This record gives sequence, structure tokens and C-alpha cells, in this order.
Amino acid sequence: MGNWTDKELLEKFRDPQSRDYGFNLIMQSYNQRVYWHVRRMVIDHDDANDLTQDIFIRVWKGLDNFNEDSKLFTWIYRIATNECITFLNKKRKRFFIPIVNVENELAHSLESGKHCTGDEIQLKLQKALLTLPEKQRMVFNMKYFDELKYEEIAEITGTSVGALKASYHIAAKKIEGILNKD
Amino acid sequence: MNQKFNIDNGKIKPGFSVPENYFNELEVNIQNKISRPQKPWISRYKYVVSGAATAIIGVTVWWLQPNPVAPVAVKVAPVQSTDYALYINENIEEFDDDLLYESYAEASTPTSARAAEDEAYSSYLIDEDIDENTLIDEL
Repeated sequence: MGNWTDKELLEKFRDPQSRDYGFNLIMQSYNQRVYWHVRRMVIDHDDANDLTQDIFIRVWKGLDNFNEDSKLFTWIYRIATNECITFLNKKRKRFFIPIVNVENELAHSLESGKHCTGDEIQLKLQKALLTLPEKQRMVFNMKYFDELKYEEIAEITGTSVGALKASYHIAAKKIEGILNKD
Repeated sequence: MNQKFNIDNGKIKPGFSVPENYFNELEVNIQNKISRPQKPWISRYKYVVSGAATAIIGVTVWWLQPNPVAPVAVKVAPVQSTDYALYINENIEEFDDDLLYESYAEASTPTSARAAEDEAYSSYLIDEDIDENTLIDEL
């Protein structure tokens, strides 16, 4: 996140003179990470774009109440994670379809090539990930792609480190099983 | 895939892409959304407010309207001839005897009989060449 510490960013944001500048710095520091975190969950670029904008508007509105119990980054990630889960739940309710069908729909859109421009193994990995339960997929993404520590993921998801390790291990074995099947 | 995939050996990238210059545009879009002045609450909830106002006005008008008096259904029982007789018996001093006998005679004569009687009188007056009005004057 550049050379700025959380403390400096928050000081800039809380000073009325530099509030906008402070928020711009926060956006520059985190917008890509937030976008990719969301994108891996919702797959579609347009959905990820809308959600990322909504997330930063929430950050803007809630930053005055941020009490610095956690890192700024984990706080923003928590907002992003909740927004993704809410979005996927809404999507399920909107189509009145059971959980597996949203993931199927996302898998089909991956195959169409519109959202996934990677090679064959990347496509296979994304499709394998869509077979995981939503929260397991979230944990796997944060550990595998974002390389977050278990402690950070625990702070974001409110789950114990032990449970996260178990979840990641199970997810990894499932993914390996799917990718090695062919 | 010839080699067995192992999650810990080499990282596979997600394989997604974004349009060119996307992240710069994203920042601008977010800034625009944040700096856009919030609409006043009345404007944001205009449909709710107008609906509620209409409902309040409707209820008030209904409330202030005088209660319409429900029409009282009066059922008048048909008057029986026994009722007349009872009334006459109770108030006999108010009635003229001749009038009563006449009314009784009229009531007891069947309508068809009376019509036949009227016709007979008319034929008689015609046969005898008696003017009805002259007769009335004389009587």
C-alpha cells in the first residue's frame, strides 16, 4: 500500500482539509485488491465493478466510525466479503434457485470466455473453485491468491484460525482431486 | 496435464482480466459517486411520501365525513279487515250509523256485481231517455 501507514491515511481522512485526498490514497492503496477479491467471488466483471464501487462508498461512510481495533485493510476486506456474500445470496433469491445453480451459472459464464481470459489450467481451477461451498471458496481465495495469513483471514471472517486451516486443507484437497481427475 | 497438480507446487493465477485503464476509471467513478450531493430525503422517498400523504388525506376525509344515517327499514304490516272492525268498535261514537251501513253494503257487494248494477242503471236511463245530469239536479 505504498509508503502510507494506516495511521497516516486515517489522519489525512479525518482532517477536513485533506479528507478527499486521504480517501483517494486509501482507494489507491486498496482498490485493486478489493476488486480482485470481489471478482474471484462473483466472476463477472460488471458485477465486480458495481460491488467494488459500493464497497468504497461504504468505506467512505463508515470510516469516521472505524475504531482501529483491526487493520484498515482487514476492515475493508470484511466489508468486501460481506458485500460479496450478500450479493450472491440476493442472486440466489432473485432466481429462486438452489445454491448449486448460481455456481453452475458462473461456471458456464467462465466457459464462455467472456470473464476468464486465462489458459486451460486457470479455467479448470476457477471451475473447480466454483464447486466449493461459498465460504470455503472465500477462504481458499484469500489464502491461495491473496496470500493472507490465517490470522488476517480470521479477523476478516470472524472464524478461528484452526477452523480456517481445516477449511483450507479440505478445499485444497478437493481442488487437487478435481484437477488431477482428468 | 501430464504433471500431477499440487496446490503447494507453483501458483496458478486466477486468469481474469479487466479493461484497459480500468482501475483509474474506477477511482474516478467512486469519487464521482461520493462527491455527488445526496438528494434530500423527501426526494429520495418521494413515492413513499406521496403514498403516505394520500393515505392520510383519504383517512382524514373519511373520518370527518358525517356518519350517514342508515335508512330504517319500516315494515308496515298490511291492515286486516279485523283491524278496521276492532278500531270501529273501540271508537263507535265517532262514526255516523248510515255511513257505516252504506260502507258495509258497498264492501260486502262483490266488485263484479257492482259493475253489473252500474251497467243496468245506465241502460235503464238510456232506455227511458232520462238525462243523468237532470236526474242528479232533481235529486
